Amino acid sequence: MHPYIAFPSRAFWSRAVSNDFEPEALLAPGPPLVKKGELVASAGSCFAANLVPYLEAKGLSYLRTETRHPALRRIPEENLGYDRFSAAYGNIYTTRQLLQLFRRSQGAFTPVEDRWFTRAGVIDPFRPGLKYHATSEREFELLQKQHIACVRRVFERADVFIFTLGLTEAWFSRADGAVFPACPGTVADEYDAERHGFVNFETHDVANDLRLFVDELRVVNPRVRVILTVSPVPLIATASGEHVLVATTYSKAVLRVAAREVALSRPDVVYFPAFEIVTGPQAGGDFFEADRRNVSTRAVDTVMAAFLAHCDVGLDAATPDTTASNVTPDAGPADPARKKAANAEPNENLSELAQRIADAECEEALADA
Amino acid sequence: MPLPLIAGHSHVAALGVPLKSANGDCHTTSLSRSGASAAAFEGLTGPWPRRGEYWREVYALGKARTVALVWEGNQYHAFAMFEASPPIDFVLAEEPAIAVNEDACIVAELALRARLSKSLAGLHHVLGTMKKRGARTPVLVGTPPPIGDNDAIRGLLQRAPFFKKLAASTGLDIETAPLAPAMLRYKLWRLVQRMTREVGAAYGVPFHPVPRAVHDENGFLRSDLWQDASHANAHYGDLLLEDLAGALHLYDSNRAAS
Repeated sequence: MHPYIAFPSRAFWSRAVSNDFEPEALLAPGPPLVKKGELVASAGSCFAANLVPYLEAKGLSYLRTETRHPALRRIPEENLGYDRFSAAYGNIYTTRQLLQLFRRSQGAFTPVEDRWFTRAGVIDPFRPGLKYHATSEREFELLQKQHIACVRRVFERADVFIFTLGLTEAWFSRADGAVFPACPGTVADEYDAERHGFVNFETHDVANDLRLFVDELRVVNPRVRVILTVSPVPLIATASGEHVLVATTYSKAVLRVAAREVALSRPDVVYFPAFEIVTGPQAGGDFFEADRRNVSTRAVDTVMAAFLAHCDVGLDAATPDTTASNVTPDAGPADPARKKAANAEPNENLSELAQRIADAECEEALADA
Repeated sequence: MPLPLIAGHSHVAALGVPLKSANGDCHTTSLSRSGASAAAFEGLTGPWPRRGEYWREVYALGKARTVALVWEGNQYHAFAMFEASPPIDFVLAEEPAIAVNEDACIVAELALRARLSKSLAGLHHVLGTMKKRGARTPVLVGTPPPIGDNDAIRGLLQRAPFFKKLAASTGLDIETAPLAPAMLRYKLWRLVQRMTREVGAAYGVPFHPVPRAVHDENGFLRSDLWQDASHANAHYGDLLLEDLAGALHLYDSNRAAS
């Protein structure tokens, strides 16, 4: 007799990986990760942004506190995925960056190097790729204040917060240790060895940052549940001096261990094994694109199917947004203008009216010409 | 030497150029204004809305005469006549000290420029074509500042049954639809003037702003110069014509010198 006799099939490689592999079985059964009606917020590396459309397609409520104003709906999208998360913070690659963002939202941390003056304008070092950035200090301060308030609302309102850990390597400001999302000079501003330094976080750093984040988050939002994942996407480049494959393995190992430590040490923190689904030996060769770095759609589909299998998504599939406008309903069957008005957002009606008035006044001017 | 030619969109009407010709054809015409300044120009009337044939006429006529081009000018009204939901505001880079409603959704000026740039794409095309076809360098002319009195705007809109009907067709009541703050319209007008000037600069085309005399003490359109909610009247046209007539020779001599 020995303990293995009593272990379930999922404990055995031959029974759960070599044969009968089911991605959703990687997570032990338990309470739903997300329940219908709960507000889900997320942050993380570029892999994290892939998850959002799946959540919304299943009718789960993705929390967005910072959306584009309707008047600007048709302008080109923001760069670098700033529009893709719960607020316009863009990719959050490290746990230090996450903790820092949280503390900034609470007014508990203000970076010393909080703006870069460039020929293009006033750049946010923590969102250096913003297309629609400020061009004056006053504009910068107002936009920043608004953004940070939106971030605060994310942390205050989320029922579930999903964080995808992406990197251990980071560049920081020597003034106060504030961590940037990218090395200065790669997206904006210039690298200055006197102002900027490199760090490759270790397991205890990552775990500690995550624990602090969870603990501090729960002061403002006691009931929030946290789901951790590790991005399977390898590093684009490493500043560690190692081969990028070796550096990637180190980074992912650190992140994986830290995620486990925190999930075990904090209630309502769950690790979801997206990393294993994509990178495990059982994964199809087509889970990565030809560059062996970008994750394929099939891989994301597989991860999300497994994730959603652990969510309570209800019986109906996603339904389209049928938010009613306050426009008078269609008064007649053959009036396209009224039908369009009835289906339009209120802002569109006002905008259309204003445009038509401006155009029509020119016609009125004709009458007097 | 043929007279300088005023051409462009709806604000040419204030300068005495019939916006639309009787049968939609393009032809030059004297301005429907009296005075030496008006006599110093002709106008190009044609189809309305403007079509390709109008601009082709501009290109052709522009070879022998200076064109004073009035481009759009009302594009910001699409989102700044009525109050947006949520209310919107921005910091004008040209004058960041101008008041901002910090309770509104603050948007970056660069985002508004992206929104407004579409209305200037045609201007790029016209100026580029004029340059390519060897036309004399035109002059871009500014467009009237907005009205600063929201009650007055509503009154101007309400006076015309046409607009009430227009509002109804979009499901709104013109008498109660909230109007955007006047200062937002002013800042957007400033931004449009700036962007128009920048387009001109890209082609070496000077920009002639509207004269100081048409502004009230707050920078809005003087109340005696209102035509309707978004246009200025003939008196405005007289002031602009006088100012433009006095400056055209300067643009011409700058061109000769360079």
